Amino acid sequence: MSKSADLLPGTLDLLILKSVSLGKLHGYAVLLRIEQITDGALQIQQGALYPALYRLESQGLIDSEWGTSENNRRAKFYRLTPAGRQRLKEEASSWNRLADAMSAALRATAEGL
Amino acid sequence: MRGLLSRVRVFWRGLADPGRLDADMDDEMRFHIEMETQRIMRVTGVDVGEARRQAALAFGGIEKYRGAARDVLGFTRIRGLSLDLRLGVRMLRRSPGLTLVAVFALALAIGSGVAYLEFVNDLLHGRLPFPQADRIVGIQNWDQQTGQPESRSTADFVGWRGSLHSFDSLGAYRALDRNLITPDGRAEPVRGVEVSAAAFHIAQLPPLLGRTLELTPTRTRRGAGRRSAPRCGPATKRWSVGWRQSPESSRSPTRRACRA
Repeated sequence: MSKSADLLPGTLDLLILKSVSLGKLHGYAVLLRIEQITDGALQIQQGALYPALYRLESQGLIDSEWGTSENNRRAKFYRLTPAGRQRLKEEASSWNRLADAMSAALRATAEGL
Repeated sequence: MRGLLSRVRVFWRGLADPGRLDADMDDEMRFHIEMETQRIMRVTGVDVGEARRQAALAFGGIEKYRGAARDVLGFTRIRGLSLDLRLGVRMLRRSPGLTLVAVFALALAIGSGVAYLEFVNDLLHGRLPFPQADRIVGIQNWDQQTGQPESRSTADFVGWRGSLHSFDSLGAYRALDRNLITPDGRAEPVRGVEVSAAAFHIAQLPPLLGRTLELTPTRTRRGAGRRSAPRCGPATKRWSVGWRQSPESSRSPTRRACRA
């Protein structure tokens, strides 16, 4: 496993949107899904997930309903709304542009300028 | 719109039953810690007590994040306000005499404040001597850099007239100085205003002499400018003092003076 990195501000919301875009998940499963899709490379304070989930729900980007978990416990499940899907698309595009720009900047050499 | 509805729905749910919201948050976070406890036990093989301790540590404190979630949803401020209101009402009910004095003092202060402001406003600005004068407002552009009023062209006025739909009517005026030739041959400078046709419609007053300008855009027709040429007359005070309010005394000399 690679060394964990701190999460950049604003990226937790994007990671949550991406996770729930892959299927309906309860809060704990969102955490596992983030660990899975980032290969455990990002360090997330687990409790910080919940204020972010409530914020996204209040913004109408995700929706929730109570259901039963895989071990028959009462759990709250989240799913992406159409507005959330649109936001995810915009944020992913913006993030990719930034990542490309940073990557290009860091590859630059004196000879290549 | 959907985001706003969702926000209102979540907010209303929490406001209507705050105990339920807290209980739901509590259930959700305890479920998370319980699941993490089981995972730690599976992966590391430690006993349930140690696994629960590690899971709680990794979570970071239920109360802390429940508070953060309430803040996100805006309930902390609402609850603080609600507590202040409840305490205030309780204190006022405990001392009815103080409540009466406070209400009376507030009513007196607010009433006298409003009356004073109305008086000062009337004193400073006065009222226009027209029917429904309180419905007439002035529009003045102001240059913020120089601190001076800024004149606008007729084209601006025409543009405003076409786009401002919250006004019944829109008129324009500008001050001007002219030499006035009186019937006895004297000439003296007077200050007057040129107004657009709508000014008479806004003032809702009949002219003392002549007729008002027409609102229809007749000036665009060939030759119509002569038929609907702006009329003007002296101000009431000047007319009373200089010509003794005689229609005969203010005909041609006045018109010539205005066109000068």
